[in-house]
Amino acid sequence: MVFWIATIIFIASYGLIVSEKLEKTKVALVGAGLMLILKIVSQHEAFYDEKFAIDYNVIFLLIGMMIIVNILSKTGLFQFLAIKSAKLAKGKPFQILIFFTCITAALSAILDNVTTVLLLVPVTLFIADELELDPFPFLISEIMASNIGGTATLIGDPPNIMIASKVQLTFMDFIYHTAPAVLFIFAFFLLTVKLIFGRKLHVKEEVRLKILAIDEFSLIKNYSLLKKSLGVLGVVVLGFIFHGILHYEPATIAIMGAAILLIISKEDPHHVLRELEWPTLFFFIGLFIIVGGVIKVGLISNLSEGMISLTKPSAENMFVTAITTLWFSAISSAIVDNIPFVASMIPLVMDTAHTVFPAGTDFKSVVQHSTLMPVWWSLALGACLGGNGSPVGASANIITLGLAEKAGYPITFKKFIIYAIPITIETIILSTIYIWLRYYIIL
Amino acid sequence: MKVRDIMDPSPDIIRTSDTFEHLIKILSEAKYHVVFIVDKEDKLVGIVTEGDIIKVLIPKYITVDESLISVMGVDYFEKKCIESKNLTINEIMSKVAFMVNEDDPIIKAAALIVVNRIQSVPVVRDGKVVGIVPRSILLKHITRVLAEN
Repeated sequence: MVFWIATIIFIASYGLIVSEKLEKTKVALVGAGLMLILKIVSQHEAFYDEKFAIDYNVIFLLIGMMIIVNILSKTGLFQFLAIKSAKLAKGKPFQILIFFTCITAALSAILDNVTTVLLLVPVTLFIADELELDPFPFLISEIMASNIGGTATLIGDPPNIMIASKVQLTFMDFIYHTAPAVLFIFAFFLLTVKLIFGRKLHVKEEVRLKILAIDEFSLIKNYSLLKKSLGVLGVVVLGFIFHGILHYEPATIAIMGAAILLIISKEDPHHVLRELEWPTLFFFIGLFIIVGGVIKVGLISNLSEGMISLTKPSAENMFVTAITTLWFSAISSAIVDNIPFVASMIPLVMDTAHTVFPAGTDFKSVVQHSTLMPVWWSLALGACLGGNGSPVGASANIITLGLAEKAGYPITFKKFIIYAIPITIETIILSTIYIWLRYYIIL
Repeated sequence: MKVRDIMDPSPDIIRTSDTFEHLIKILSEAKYHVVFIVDKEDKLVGIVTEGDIIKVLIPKYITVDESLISVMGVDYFEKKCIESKNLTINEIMSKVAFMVNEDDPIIKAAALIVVNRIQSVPVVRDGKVVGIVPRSILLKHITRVLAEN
């Protein structure tokens, strides 16, 4: 009975999130509330249990990075970088497109994707307006680049943060495993952008020269704040690089960085904290409790049995499991928000690992077993890159399309998917090649 | 007293089919810095204020990121003016959100102006514009009431 109630709450929450009839944060909190009130998980389990509780590492890593980005975004750095690159490109539209795409990917790898596009989209619209060009090629390339770039690092995209936390992976693990995949995929992505838009972007000489006349330094609003923010961000990134060696969780580094920046920037904490993405944070909290409930009643174990019988993983080889996970994650993440998907997939893969590998071995050597690792990387690649597949696949897409519409350049669902689906498929095929070559051929 | 007793019976009016240039000409000479827009049947369908005109010349992304104002080119405004030449009145006007009937009490016009922070309110009879009550007329009316008592 408890099993079915938990399963119904889980499916109903998923259904409502997909339907977008209610805001997802409300759905997640109501689902979590039901799990608690019906005592499917106790409050103690939801708050403190190692298997069923809210993953505070994810929550506090997100809060820390949101604070740092919030303060950094007030300096004008993003707009400065965009205009500077447009001038370096000598106002040539295709070169600007490539520069903007690279900046979006690089910033999305270190900062959250939503902030990156939120700050780059208006300046992109400005440049397109100055060049008298349709902003669509720029916007669609930036959306794709944001999701591809975010895949590269532990802190780039929420699925990576969640996987890293549960599997105890370090920042450098992602640098060694997903970052090379992203470089490989991004190179092909740029070629694709050239093929699609390369010939379409031309402007008159006098229009091009207008870009060169812009004073990009007027965009930097506060040099002192810029130095402090970049200094702290630099130290935080160093902290991430060494957190494995220093035995600190990434959340500790992020919260420490945020605290230091709040002090030295003299920003009003009321103001900064009010601007954080609280709905997203509570969405995570609600989801963790919902997923905790279905893990406890055994739904996840049942699903993992299904995965085992379907993909037949063994302690020696999980190639089929990895590739199935990659494609299944990509398709699901294009349809559903990738956060609830990954929140459910992590315990599923863990359960599979505990079934396949002999009992008695310690937690870390099971979840980080060399045979299992390609499955985690496949989940990360599939969930992050799959977000490109539809307008609602990732938060960056929703934000960019919303801004474009507000600015008078609406991008229809159809126009988006005509470009997005082939590019997403391309990136997943490239991920398949990467996983196969790196983990099953080269070893 | 009623709105009819104090309204100005000759507000500036143009039709939805008029050109952008005609709108600008009328608005620049308008008594109360507002032009009422009527359709073929003379029914009130919209309002254009000076703010509405300037708003269409400013790119909307500026409202998302104000810092971009500092990098806009010296001839940007003129470029947008020329581009706006072909805009239709429908694209510029705001829908009529508030109006009063000529038989309504004056307090209704005054309250609408204050609550909605608008400068004037159109007066209609059977959907057709018959006058305007701007803030200045209300002030004149207050002066008159005070003088009489």
